[in-house]
Amino acid sequence: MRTLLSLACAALMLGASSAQDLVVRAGTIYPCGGGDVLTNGAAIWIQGGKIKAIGKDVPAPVGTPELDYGMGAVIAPGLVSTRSGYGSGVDSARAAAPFVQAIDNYNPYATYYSALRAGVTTVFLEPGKTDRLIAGQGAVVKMAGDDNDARILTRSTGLVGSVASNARFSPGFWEPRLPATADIGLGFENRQFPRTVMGAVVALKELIAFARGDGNFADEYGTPAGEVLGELIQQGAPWRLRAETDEEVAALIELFAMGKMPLVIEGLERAPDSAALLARANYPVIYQVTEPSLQDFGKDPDAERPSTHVAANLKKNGVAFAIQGWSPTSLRFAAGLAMRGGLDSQTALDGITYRAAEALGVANRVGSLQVGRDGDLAVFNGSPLDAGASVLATLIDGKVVYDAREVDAKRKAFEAKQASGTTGQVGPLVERVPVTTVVSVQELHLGDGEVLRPGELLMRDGRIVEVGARVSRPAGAVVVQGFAAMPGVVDVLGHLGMEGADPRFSKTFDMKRMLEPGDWLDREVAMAGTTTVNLTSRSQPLETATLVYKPAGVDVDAMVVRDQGALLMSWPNGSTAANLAKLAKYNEDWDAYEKALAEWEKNPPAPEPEKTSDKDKKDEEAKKEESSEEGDKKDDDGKKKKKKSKDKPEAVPVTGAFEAQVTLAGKEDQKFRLRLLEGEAGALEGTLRMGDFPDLVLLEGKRDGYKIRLDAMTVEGGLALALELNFTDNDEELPFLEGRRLFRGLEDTVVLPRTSTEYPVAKRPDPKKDEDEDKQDDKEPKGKPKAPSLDFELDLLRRAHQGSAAIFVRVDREDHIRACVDAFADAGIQPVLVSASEAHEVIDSIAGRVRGVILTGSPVTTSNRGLVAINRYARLQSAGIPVAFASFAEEGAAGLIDVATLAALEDWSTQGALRALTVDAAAMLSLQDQVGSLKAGCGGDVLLLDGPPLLPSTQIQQVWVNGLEVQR
Amino acid sequence: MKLLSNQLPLTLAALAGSVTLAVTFAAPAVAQEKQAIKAGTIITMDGAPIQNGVILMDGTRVLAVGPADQIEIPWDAEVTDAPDMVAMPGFVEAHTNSGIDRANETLDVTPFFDVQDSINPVDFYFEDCLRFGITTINVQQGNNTVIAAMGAVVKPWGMTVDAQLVMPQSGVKMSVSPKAGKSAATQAATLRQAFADLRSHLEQLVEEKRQGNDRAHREALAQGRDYEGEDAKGRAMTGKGWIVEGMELVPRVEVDEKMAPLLKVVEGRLTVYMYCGAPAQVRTALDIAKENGFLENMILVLGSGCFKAADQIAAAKVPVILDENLVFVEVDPITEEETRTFEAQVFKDKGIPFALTSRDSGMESLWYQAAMAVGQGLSREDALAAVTTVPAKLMGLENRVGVIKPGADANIVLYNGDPLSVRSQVQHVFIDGQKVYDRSNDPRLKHLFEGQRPPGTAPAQDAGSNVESSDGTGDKKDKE
Repeated sequence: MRTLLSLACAALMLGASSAQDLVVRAGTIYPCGGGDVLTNGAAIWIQGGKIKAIGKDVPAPVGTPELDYGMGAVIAPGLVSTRSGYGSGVDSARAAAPFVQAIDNYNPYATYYSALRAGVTTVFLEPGKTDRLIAGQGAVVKMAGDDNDARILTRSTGLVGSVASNARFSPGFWEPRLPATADIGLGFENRQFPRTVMGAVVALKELIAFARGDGNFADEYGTPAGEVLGELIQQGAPWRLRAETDEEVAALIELFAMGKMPLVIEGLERAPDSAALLARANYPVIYQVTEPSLQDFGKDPDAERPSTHVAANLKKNGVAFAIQGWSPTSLRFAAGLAMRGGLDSQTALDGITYRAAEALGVANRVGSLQVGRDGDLAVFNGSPLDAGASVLATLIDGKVVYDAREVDAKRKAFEAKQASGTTGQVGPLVERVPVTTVVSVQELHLGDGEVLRPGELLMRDGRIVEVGARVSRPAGAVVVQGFAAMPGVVDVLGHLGMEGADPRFSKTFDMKRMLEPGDWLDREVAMAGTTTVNLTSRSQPLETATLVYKPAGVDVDAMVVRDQGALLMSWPNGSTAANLAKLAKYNEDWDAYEKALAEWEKNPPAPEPEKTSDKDKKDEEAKKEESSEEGDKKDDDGKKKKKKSKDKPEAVPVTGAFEAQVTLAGKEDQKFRLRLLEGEAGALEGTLRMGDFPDLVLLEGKRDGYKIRLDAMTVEGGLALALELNFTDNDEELPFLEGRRLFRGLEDTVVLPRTSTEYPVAKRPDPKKDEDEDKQDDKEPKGKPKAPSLDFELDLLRRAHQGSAAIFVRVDREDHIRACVDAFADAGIQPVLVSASEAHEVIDSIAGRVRGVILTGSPVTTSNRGLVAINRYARLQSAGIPVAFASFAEEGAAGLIDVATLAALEDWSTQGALRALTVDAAAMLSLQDQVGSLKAGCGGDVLLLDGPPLLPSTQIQQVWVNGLEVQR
Repeated sequence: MKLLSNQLPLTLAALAGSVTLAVTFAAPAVAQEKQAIKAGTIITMDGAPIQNGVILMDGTRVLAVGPADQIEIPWDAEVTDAPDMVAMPGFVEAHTNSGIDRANETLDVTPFFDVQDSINPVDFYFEDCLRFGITTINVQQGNNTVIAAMGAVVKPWGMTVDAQLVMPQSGVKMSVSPKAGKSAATQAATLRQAFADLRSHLEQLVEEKRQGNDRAHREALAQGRDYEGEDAKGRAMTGKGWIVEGMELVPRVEVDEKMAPLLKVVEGRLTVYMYCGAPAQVRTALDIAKENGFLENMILVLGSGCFKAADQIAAAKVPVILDENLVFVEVDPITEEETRTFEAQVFKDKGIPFALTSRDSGMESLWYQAAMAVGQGLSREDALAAVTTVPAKLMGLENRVGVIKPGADANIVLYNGDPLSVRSQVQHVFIDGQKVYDRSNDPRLKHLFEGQRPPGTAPAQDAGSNVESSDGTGDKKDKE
């Protein structure tokens, strides 16, 4: 189910070449026009713009580009609109103007974006507003295509007109006589028929007679009308006439039965009783659905209100009919309205596809998916007649002419560009394709124990937007179906990302520097279900703050959930007690400060405008200069690059991962992993992970031919690190880098084979920017209260006191637990007890006073005699004490679900274990509104399962983090 | 008798006065037999520019042009010595509806009208043309029409239309873009109908002739003349055009005057200036031209954005006149990003002859449009051709205007620098070998720059008192 990436690739390929073969796959295909519906995966093979094969699978040759829209998608024929309004709203001055040709109104240069977005691929062009007895000749065109002429399906569909109320107001016709004469001046205005149904019938009779040469009505209708009409009648061109009421229908049928001319009846809004008559007459019918409006029809009980039963009556009487909306974009909605009177969905869908094509005389080309027909498809993310569903893609002649996600991506990139004022700040290789996803499952486990059966959730912009039995399907939403879904699991204490190191960080160490976006191992863990990790170092019992992060986030911003999310302490421990003792004073000081600050802000002193503004201006100017310089440079670089490429063949890009165990500073077998991304003109950026250094080092450098020089980007205090490498790339062996590492005055030789050509690392926040902001904050105006000194431990305790941070306390024995909980209760803090193996023995004294308990090892113990299994988590949970699972491991976090599954088997409930993995774990970190549950506003971290959660046999099928599918 | 004798000299004097007046306005300098211009540079538009050249002309035509050392200036020629100036043929305006009182009729089909009846020789427009170096103007009716009047090529000099006229009935204006109140379809239907009407009219004439009911036949019979001998005089269809059975026997005098210009169009003897405001209508324009056989004598007058249909136009080999908006701006429906297309370049790349037109008679006149086109990347030669030789060729006047060569009309403009530079100004304009404009003597510029009133206007007065007399005092009087 790699829909995302393969789709993007295929779409790109399609854009490049035109008349290529293509296979389109989806869960369901409605072929329409009598074909059998294909479900549970089906495909269409389009060759040279025509459908070559359709079925469960198609015999397309290997390598044919494929578009897979997933099992949640539905393919229908491109919709056919028997009305468009794309011509013009102007009618001829004549009541009968058969010489007006709609094809002259056809504008192939317009972008019919709204129609394509509605899945409409073929439309009827009216010769005008069609408020005339004969408005002219219609045409049928496709909504997109390379060849403007090939887009025209029919240049003339025959005559189009109306005998209904809309055609009763033709203005008087006046043709001046030149030169004017004394007796009649410039001539008179001729009143034009019709004003009534009978008038319309008489006028039609006269016109037909005129056309056949059975009478001269040149004065009434003009000579040209007769001539053109005569030709059309001789050709046997069909008449498409509008009739709204039963009387009009009856009159038309009678007239045309006598004349034996082909007729298409359009309208029928207020003709509920004509079905039987139409069935006998056997003319094609286009049923016009009335646009919902706030129109007053009058209090008269006989007022002509639109009937909702027309469509159902037609169906009952065996009349085949097309359904017509009021615009191409309303087509599906109109079909939905037609179903109100009891019409089945298949007939309704046929009405806007096959039957519509039939009524327009183009059913041999479009309107149904059969071998040999045009490759015009609409792909929906739900049933095509579900007005809430939207179009994922529209294809005409086997070419994608609308792709919802491409449009979305384009739009968002543009908006980002507008917002930043630059050329967009999208990461280098990771495409941030904005995805709107609907997960539709039989069991939706929200995390807090509630299960929706069936359930759906909608993710958009990285968050869950809607959860319910049925959610909306906005434009471009990809629907993914499965058996069950649950929230991503939270590892409440883990070491994922430490890479075996056990560094003793200083208290102020910025843990974010450990993060490596795009790391494959991180992604593996996420794929196993653990989407959030509360990262801590192994070194205990030093008091450290933790970092809550999402291993599969696409960049550092997306990864960090909360920096300094929790404080890890231990008990009994002198400093813990001391900190608790200091807390009261600290709280007092800060409360006072905040109060003072709030008051100061209420009545701020007048700022000193000159200084700041001057400085700001200068800063701005400086920035401007910088940016313009940068711009110039870029241009220059671009030119240089071009020149270079002319001089010598382009060298193979060095982008990728280079990895080996090397000897560093005398120590053997040290990890050394370098990842590089080559940008414009040989500019390099990358990251380095070294065995003898705890941080991830960010590098930047330059490539000159096969010589590479990299320097560590400035981190706090600077880092004297440089790499001088030679890139070897020949056909005989794997590409590798070879050279020296200059680090802290020592020199080491390294040889690094390339292990991958991928560089999925996305952008890190720009440190320079942050510095600038900090500087501005430094300028504090006079009179502002001074903040008390900040102590990060006390601060975390204070935040925990306020409920916005967590305190984890490592404590074991019964008596210690009691003492610890008492001490924290005095400080007004509910701690999370970690490794508290005997907590279940003291439930009474800790219930309601702790935020939760995390055990190390299995929660299941056996009684002294080894006969009775005791599930400690079950006991704690039933006493109202939340529990959660922690891995205390790196990639071991991948096993959390299995551990919980095992624990749930013994004397516990699956729902309880699920809570412990998700909602309760998040709540312990005070992140219940961001991760760990499926509710609106939470991050889009979702696991799709092929069975009920926490069953040994259940597998994870798909994982989303921040609404983006995680891929290996 | 006495009365009469007294009056006669007066009348004569008045007549004579009016004649001299007209002459002095029309030709202030007494026409010299021979004129010579010695210019630092001569851009002839017929080969490379000539440095230090001489143009020799008689009363109307250019006699010779070439380097100073190769041309002997006759002793009796009046010499304009301009060693620092650049001489160029006057610009040619390919299509404009300036200079006439109103752009369009309300009636749909009026090919029997003629803009000659509408041109106002003293329109300020013509004066501006001199100031900006335009010496040939194709006046056509506006675009809000179906079939409009026949146009005329004029020069911006002369007291009467006849004096201005270079080529009468230079073409007939049509439009496939909907005029107000019409759709593209009804517009096309009206246009097609006009030709259908012509055809049925001709068929009717053929029928009448066959039955011996035509007027010429009847008159000949009545006067006892030999009709069969003289009927060949007026053949209706002498060019290409449709073949109607027996058509060649229709005497031209029989054809309805109101239809005659369309007959000429169909015969290929009258150019059609077909306005096409949007690319979607290019197809219709070409179709109608093909149906009625005037594709070869049609010029498309394009609106903005028509470069999109350049392929169709190139295939039909129809020349075009571009509108004043050189750059077409399009907004992406999704991203709202703007795409800018310099249209002339597209036509250039497709090999379609194109002419540029002025936006107004003032600063954004032809020189400005050509300069902007160069700024957009068009070559200087192509830009200059688009305002001189190309429009001249479109009118069939390529040997007369837009070029300085022996035999061509002596329409020459002298600039004090590069004609496409914003710093250069038109110094002298010669039309038909006569100096008709001298910047140092331009009364309106004098008024503008030096405060001198043009001759014949009210004496200089304080501006403030003028306002008072027109508003303040007038009101007071009314009240009193």
